[in-house]
This record gives sequence, structure tokens and C-alpha cells, in this order.
Amino acid sequence: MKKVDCVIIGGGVIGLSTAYNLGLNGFSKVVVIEKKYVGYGASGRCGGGVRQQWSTMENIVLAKKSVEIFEKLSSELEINIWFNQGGYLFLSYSEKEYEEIKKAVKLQNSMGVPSILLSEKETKERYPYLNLNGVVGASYCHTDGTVFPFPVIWGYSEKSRAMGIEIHEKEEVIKIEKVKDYSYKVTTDKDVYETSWIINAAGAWSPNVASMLGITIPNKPYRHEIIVTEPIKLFLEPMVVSLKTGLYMSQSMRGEVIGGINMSSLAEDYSMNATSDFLKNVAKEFTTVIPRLSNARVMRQWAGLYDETPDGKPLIGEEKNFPGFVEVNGFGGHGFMLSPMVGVLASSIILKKKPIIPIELYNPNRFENGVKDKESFSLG
Amino acid sequence: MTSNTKVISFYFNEKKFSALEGFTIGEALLYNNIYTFSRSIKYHRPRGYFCGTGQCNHCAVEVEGVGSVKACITPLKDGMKIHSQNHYPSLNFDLMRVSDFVFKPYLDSTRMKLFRGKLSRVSMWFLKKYVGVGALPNGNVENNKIEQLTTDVLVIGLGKYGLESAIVAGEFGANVIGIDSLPNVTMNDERLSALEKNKKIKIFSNTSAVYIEKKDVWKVGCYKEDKQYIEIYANSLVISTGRIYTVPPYENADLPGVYTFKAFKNLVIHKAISPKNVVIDSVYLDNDDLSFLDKNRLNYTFIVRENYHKDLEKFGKIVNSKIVKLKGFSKVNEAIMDNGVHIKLDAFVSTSFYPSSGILFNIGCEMDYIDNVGFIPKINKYLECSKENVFVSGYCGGVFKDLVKVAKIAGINAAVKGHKSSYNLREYNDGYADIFTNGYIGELSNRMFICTCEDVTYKEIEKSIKEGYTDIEKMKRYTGIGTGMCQGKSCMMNAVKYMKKNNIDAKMTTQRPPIMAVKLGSLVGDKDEKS
Repeated sequence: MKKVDCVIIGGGVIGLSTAYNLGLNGFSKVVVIEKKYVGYGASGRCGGGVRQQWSTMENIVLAKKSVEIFEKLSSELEINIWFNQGGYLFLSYSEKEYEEIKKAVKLQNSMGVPSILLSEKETKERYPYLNLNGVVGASYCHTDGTVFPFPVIWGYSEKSRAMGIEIHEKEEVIKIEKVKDYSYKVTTDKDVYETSWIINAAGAWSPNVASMLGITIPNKPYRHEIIVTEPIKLFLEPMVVSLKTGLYMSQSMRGEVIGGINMSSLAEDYSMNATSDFLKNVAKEFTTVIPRLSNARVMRQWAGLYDETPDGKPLIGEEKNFPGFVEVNGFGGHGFMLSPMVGVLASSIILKKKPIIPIELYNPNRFENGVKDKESFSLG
Repeated sequence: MTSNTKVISFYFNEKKFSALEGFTIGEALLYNNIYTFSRSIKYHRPRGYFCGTGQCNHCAVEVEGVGSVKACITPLKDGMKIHSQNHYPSLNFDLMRVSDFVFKPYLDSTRMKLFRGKLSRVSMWFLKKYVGVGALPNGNVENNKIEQLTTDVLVIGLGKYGLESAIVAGEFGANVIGIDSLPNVTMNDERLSALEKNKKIKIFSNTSAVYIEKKDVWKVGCYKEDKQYIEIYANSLVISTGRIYTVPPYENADLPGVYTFKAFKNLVIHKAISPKNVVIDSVYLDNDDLSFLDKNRLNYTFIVRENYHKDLEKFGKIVNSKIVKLKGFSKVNEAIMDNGVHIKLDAFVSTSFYPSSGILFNIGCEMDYIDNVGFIPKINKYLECSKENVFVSGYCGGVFKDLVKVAKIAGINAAVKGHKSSYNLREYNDGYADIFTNGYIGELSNRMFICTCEDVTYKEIEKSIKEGYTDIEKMKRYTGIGTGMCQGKSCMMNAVKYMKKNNIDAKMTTQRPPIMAVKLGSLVGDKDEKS
């Protein structure tokens, strides 16, 4: 039996960022428990996109603060995260979509995000290699971009370890018992921990963790696939996304074009197999938007799980009836890009600090009165 | 290929050359004494013809504007324009090679830690300017209709044993399709006539299996001639992918002048190379290999282990000591032995291999790891894997005795469900230790590569183990090993072996489709078709 102050369940970027931020504040009797290895789940399977162009205030504010942190993170974590601010280009294919983009840009600008609207003509001038047939208009934000996910994970892990935080890989939580408020017993296949705080950062597996205490959270795991091509000389500056198909694609610092389309399926069995149907559909969409990709060879394809909430916004906060049990999950396909700020926010709950962003916005129990203000820019 | 008479011409880096019709691009370049085809991705090392089967990435060149085309399996065409890749200012004088000598720590996995903070912007500026090897022309892939075919048996890999399985399956009444990634399927005349007689057997050369899924039957996406995607529905599969040769574990063994035995055999038979002094690192040679040596007498030197085939003495000189490293700057020209002897050479041939298990992993068959051999599938006496209706034939199945008999049994069982023709497996994996002693690796060095697509060295692997990246999945992501164009077909096996040697319980990494890289344009199918 080990006595710790906080058990973080899930060694993905959310759990590790939270651990790191706790450590920075001298709160280091923390253990991170990861069933497989750090970054096994969505963190190590994502496309690395970082954008502030969202339709809801809750996501915009987290993204904006995260971009500010990403800009300094290479120095802070002493590892090169390859944060390439090549911008994000949103393509709309109907008047309705363009109206949504316009509305969103207005909201983004009001919150200090420098996104702009581009006409079809302006877009063509900027990115002559794009096929803009059917495009009504676009929006663009130059401070958006991509990161290389792995160094972020390694950086957070190594820095956390250096501050005395333990990261236990290949250890699985099998039971959680509540002794009283702010006192829990966490049993794993290797050890038992007594702790005041538990952070449920298990991504797509979060509902299973919550259910160990009898808590039902509304998240559902959706299987999304992604492809990466062979390295090609860099030509694609921004991340290109389409609201119509959920397409997203960018070119990594290694020259690989990486991305996917919205063709997801509910995966309650947590299967992460890749399918040739996806590959054929993604090939069609990619070569339609960038015809020259017709000659690019796809090298690898894999799947990961989105941890989706009914309103496309995350759960961050203590469970009402279980003080000390904190949900930090439900990030859908955008946990990685929000992780720097989420770590700060989640740690502030435990440190009893006044959060920079009103934490009630992400209240895990908010669905009791139905779904309000759904995020409409979830992609891929 | 035997009656190469017609001479055709082609251009390599704007210069005109001629070669014989029927050659692959790789053979044509070697025929003109061009050994360096392109430069490697990180350290700009010269690379050329190595595996000869389209598995590795050494021979990638730009063809008619399309980057990273595999020269070893792509047939040469008259007037073809070929360019080398990844060098500045020229192929033979590449300033970027300086990274091979002075910048090693800046480019290996520690690069992440060296280029940080403000330096990360500098490194990204550099990467944006210089990264990426392949060119991307405008325009579509010429043939992009997806054909769909149905068959009883699909045989993947048409070496001697795959072909035998295909013929037998056909003789037992099944419709058979056989595919092979090489442009020419070689076989002896007797079996060739057996094949031609049977109209039930169709052969697709220059075709690789790239996507295997289980629907009601097996659905196999095949990729033909780097442009056409075909979907084949088959009741049963015979996997006969044979052996996979990896870059030998010696310094400089990634350079041109080093060939796998299979590549060497084909190059000599096709008369693309005519080396004077050939050093053969003789880990494993079977009777067919020996008869090749008998028919093609060159000045051979055999580096042997304790148990070697005494027939080798008839064909050349025997050297019973260990290789420390190979020497050469743009082409290997010397092997240095642990007794201090230097052996001059024009060609260095590696015979050590792993059973080629990539497809079996992709299908999800259960595999066993055998020390110094590699991964072999769990099979029953009908040569069937843990997945129903998947049979193995030849070296990839892990049975190294009675290979022709085994191939026939696999073919029969694939053709006739429940035929129950069987093989006594009890003794099949006895004696692995006698044939395989490829556990030896040369002196660790900064130029001893484990993964040549991403230029990862053994030293780098050793270093990352010390840094705590001891899980193979983490190692893969940290060093980049196995994430390159070959998708770890050979290097991951070496990594598993090396980690096991360091007492780490390593498993194979998850294999991800496609098995071979496919052009996006080929997958689109009919543009109007709704799916």
C-alpha cells in the first residue's frame, strides 16, 4: 500500500500535462498509472493539429491559451516539439457552412484569435495547388499549426519524472473505492494506492474508469482512422480542413502528408483496426482537394479513439458526489492541442488556485439539463 | 531475360545510357557501372541496389518526375528519364554528406533535445527548405480503375515454393491467382510447362499484396506496377513470401556493393553485374543456392561459421573468422576480419535472412519468436496458421525441411477444404541452431545501420535503451526505426533481436497497413463511382 496525494489514471498527454503542472507547483507526490505505455492512446495516434478556430467559446479559450504555451514549450520542456505555425485553412462548401465560419471568426476575433476570412479568389492566390471547386469561402488563422506529438509526451514525462513524479507504465487500474470525501483507494494489478485525489485522464477509456465508482459519464469511444504518405518535398504550408467532409491534412516536418476524413464509427469494443474502405475514401477526398497528391504513396494507416461528449466540449472538474475525483476527459479529436492549458486548469483544481478560465464551463455534470451550444467544428 | 538482344536507351541525371530490354531500372544502372542511385535521407550516404525484391528502400529513384520509385522492381522503358534523389549539389559530390561525419548527434534521436527553444525555429527553417525526398508531379495516375476478382486460392509470393503450391492447388481443381512483386517470375522449365498447361492458374507479376482483410472470404488489395489497385476475393490464401534479407550488421554494410543473396543471384543471371571478387557471408545457403554457385563460377570467398556446407570448398576460398567491419566510401571494397586480414571485394553478399513474416503479422496470425531465426507462424499439420484458411509455404512458414513437399501440402489444403493432407511437424524446428548462427554482429559504430529508410544506427538503439526507451513501441517512435518507407519490414526484426540480446522482452510492433506503399491516385477508382 502506497500513500500518495494524487493518482492520475492515463499516461496520455492530458494526464502528463496535468502531472507536470502539479509538479511545477511543488505538488509531486503524484503517480501516473498507464495501462500500456505513455502515448499509447489518442495522444500517440493524432495528427498533431493545433488550432484556435472553434465555434464555441469553451474550446476557443482553451486553444488560445494552449497556443501561447506551445510557443514556449520547446524551451520549457527542453525538447524540440516542432511547433510549426503554418496556419489552418478552413474550407466551406456551402453558404450555410460559410455563414457558420463567419460567425465563428467573429467570436474568435472577439476573444483575441487573429483568424481572418478569405474569399475563394484570395484562397486560390495564396494556395495555387488547391482545387477549390465548390468552395464558397474560407477562414484562416496564421498562429494555428501542428506539433510533433511524441516529443511533447516525452518532454512532459521526463520533466515530471525529474520533479519526483512517478510514471508507472504497463500497470492497470482494476478497482477504485471511496473511503470518504477526498480519500480513495486505487487498486492496480501491481499495487494499492491511498490517495486524496484521482484524475480520470483515461481518454476513450474514461467511462470505464468512472464506472469503477459507479459514475456514468456520457462519453463514447469513436474509432477514427488516419493516413500518412511517404515523405515529399514540403509544399503544403497550412493544415487544410473541410467542414463538408471533415477532411484535414497537413505536411509534417519530415515531409509526410498526414490526415483523414470524417468516417468514424462507434467502437464500444475499443477496436482500433484500419479498413481499406477508409483508405479508398480518403484517397478520393485528398486527391480532389490537392490533385497532385494522386502520385503520393500512402505509407501507413492506423486508427485511434476519440473520446466524444454530447456537446463536443471536454469534461474538466470534480464529480459532484465524489469530491476529489476529477474528470479530465471527453476531448474528442482535440485533446492534444488543448493539453497545455488543460494541464494548468486541472492542476488548479487540486492546488485550490483560482483558475484562469471559469472552470464551471466544463462541469462534468452539465448534461443533466440536456445538451446546449454544441461545438460544430469537430473534424476528422 | 535469357535472350537479351534489343538495346534501349535511357537517361540518368540527364545523361544518356543504353541497356538491354528486359532489365529493371536497377539492373540497367548497374549494367552501366552506376552503383549509387540516390542518397540516404539523413546522412546522405550513397545507396543503390540491395534487396532486389522491392522490400527495402535503398534503390529509390525519381522516374519521369515521380519520386521514390523502386528501381529494383520497376522495368526499364525506352527513353525513360531517371533522376537520383536527395543530394546537393550533385549525386557524386554531395556536400550534405558532411552530416555523416560531424553532425551525427544533431540528427539522431537526440536532435529533439539539441534543437529546442529558439534553435527549434532554426531547425524548422532548415527542415522546411531541405526535407523530403520524393518529387510530386501534377496529373493523375494513368490507370485508376479498381478491378475486382474472385478466386478459390490466392498465392502471395511466387518463388519456387509459392509456385509449387499454386500449381498443386490448380491440379486439385481450384481456380488460382498467384502474385509476385518482381517483374519476372523465374522457374524451371518443367514446372513452367505444368503452369502453362493449367488454365485455372493466373499469374500477376509486378504485383504486391498491400491490404488483407477478412470479410466473408479473404479480401486482398493488390497493387500492380505501382499504378493499379486490384481487389481479389479468395477463399483461402497461401502465403509464400519467403525470406527477407536485412542490411548485414557491419559498419558500411548499407553502401552500394552489398547485395542480398537473392539480388546477387538475379543480377548475375541477368548479367547486370560481373564482379571479380565476391565475398559471401555464408550464414545459410540451401541446395538451390549451391547449384547457382556451381553454375556461376566466380572468384568466391566464403566467410563461414563452425557448421558450414563442405561443398562450398569446391566453389571458392573458405575463411573461418569473423567480420569486424566493411570498408568503402561510396562503394564497399574491403572486408576487415577479426584476425586482421583485409579481403578485397567488388561485391559483398549477405545470406542471413529472416522468414518474411510481414504479411502474417498484418493478417494477425499468432507468431512464435525463435532466437536467431526470427518470427515464425504457429501452424497446424495442414500448414494452416491460426487464422482460418491461411496456409504457409516456403521459408516464411518456418518449416525449413522438405520444402517442396510442404509447398504441395499447403497447395492441396488451400484448394480442397478438409482434404487433410498433412505433414509431420514434430521435428520441423529441430536443428535451427545448426543452420542459423546469425546472432553475430560486427563492431558497433556510427555507420552501422539497423534501419536504412530512416538512417538509424545500432549505436542509436543502444543509446536510447540507456535513456530508458526500452519498449519497442517507444523505441520506434523515439528513434524513427521502422517508420520509414519500408515500414520496418526488416529493421524491426533486427531491433527485436538486438533488444532480446540486451535482455529486454521485445515483441514485434503492431504492423499497420498498407503492406507496401500505394499511390493515392490508384485507390480512387472510378471518379464518378459512389462508395
